[in-house]
Amino acid sequence: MKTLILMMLQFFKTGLFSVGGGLATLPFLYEMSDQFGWFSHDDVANMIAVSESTPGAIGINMATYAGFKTSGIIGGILSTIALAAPSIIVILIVATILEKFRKSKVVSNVFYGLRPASIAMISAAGINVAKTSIINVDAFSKSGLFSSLFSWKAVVLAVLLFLAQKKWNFHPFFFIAVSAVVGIVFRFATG
Amino acid sequence: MKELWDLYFTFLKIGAVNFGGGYAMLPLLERDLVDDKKWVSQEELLDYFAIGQCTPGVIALNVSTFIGHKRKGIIGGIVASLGFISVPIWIILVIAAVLTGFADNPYVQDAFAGIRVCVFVLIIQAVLRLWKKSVVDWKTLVMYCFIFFITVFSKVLPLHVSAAAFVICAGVLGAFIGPNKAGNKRQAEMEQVSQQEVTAQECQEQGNGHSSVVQKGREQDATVQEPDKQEMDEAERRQDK
Repeated sequence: MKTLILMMLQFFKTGLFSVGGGLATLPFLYEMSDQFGWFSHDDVANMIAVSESTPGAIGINMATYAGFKTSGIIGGILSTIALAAPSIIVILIVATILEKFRKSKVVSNVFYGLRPASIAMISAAGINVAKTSIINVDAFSKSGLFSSLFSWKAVVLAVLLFLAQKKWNFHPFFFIAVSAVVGIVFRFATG
Repeated sequence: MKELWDLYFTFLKIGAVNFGGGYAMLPLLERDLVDDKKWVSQEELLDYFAIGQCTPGVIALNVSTFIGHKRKGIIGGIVASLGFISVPIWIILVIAAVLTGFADNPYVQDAFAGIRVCVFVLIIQAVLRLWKKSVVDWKTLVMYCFIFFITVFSKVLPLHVSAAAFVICAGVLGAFIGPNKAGNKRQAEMEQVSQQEVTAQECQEQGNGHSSVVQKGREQDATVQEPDKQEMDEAERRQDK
């Protein structure tokens, strides 16, 4: 019980001070591991791998995992809520204030500046995903061959998906499911 | 009450298929909330992502709370966030309890190598759609290029800038150089924007170098004009004497 409350406080702190998304929680998680030993550094590394292969954000997943390991299902749920609480509270405050000033010219000027920053970081996130899917920087720097820079199976899938989405306006989940099947059939990671 | 359930299940569905973290959520939100349900506009989504980036916590949750708040106030914000975490929580609990070595399974690895390709395509398409809403003139184009290149090459460059710092700087800069000045007529603004769109497209075609040259050129013009005026003033004074 004491551990559970302490852990909720720790995850609340993590949620409050990790600015900038999932990977920003990692330093806090390593610190927690050193200080309290609720999970090991290997657990954190494994969790990064699991988070990449399950829906949801890594910070949330880690809170669930650590909570479960120390205090079972209730622990998993409560730590997750503790991590989520600061986000929810802060955004509710920001959203309430914004609503009042939505029509102010200064605020709309601020958004004029924020939007290109937002789309630039989304583009950069796209490039990061490309580095783990269609571009293979390691193989290229080892062999120096241009042909090894791209995972060609992935490039073909990407082009086909791009064209298919232009043509058919299906829900994104349909394409995600198809890609998973294609990945297994053509052995994208192990082949 | 019915609307709250709708909000909960909408975010539950998004949370269940949101592979790859916060930004991969954008295409899903666009499809479900902008196109189908029309709860938010594309511009609002971009604003929420920008704010979510520089406020504490996980981006996906920040955006969920924002949209929930817009729909149904404070309760809506809480309900949307709870909806978003509902499915991932159970998946992780199951994995932690029974599926040790889940991430090492070759089938899982293959499936997610495929899914990452799809997430890449989805993000690129979302960027293409949202481009026009955010990069409206040469000023925003310069900001886009600058932040994009620093973020992409952050590992190669000696300096490290946090994403939150970029967002805060961009917001402050926008407050000073933004198009909305007191007294501007709406129509004049619209004309400006459409003209600037054309130049922005030209800049885009010719790459980042061109736009920065344009910027420097304009700065020089401004600095050149000012000394000219001062000289004129001085000349007038001398004539007066």
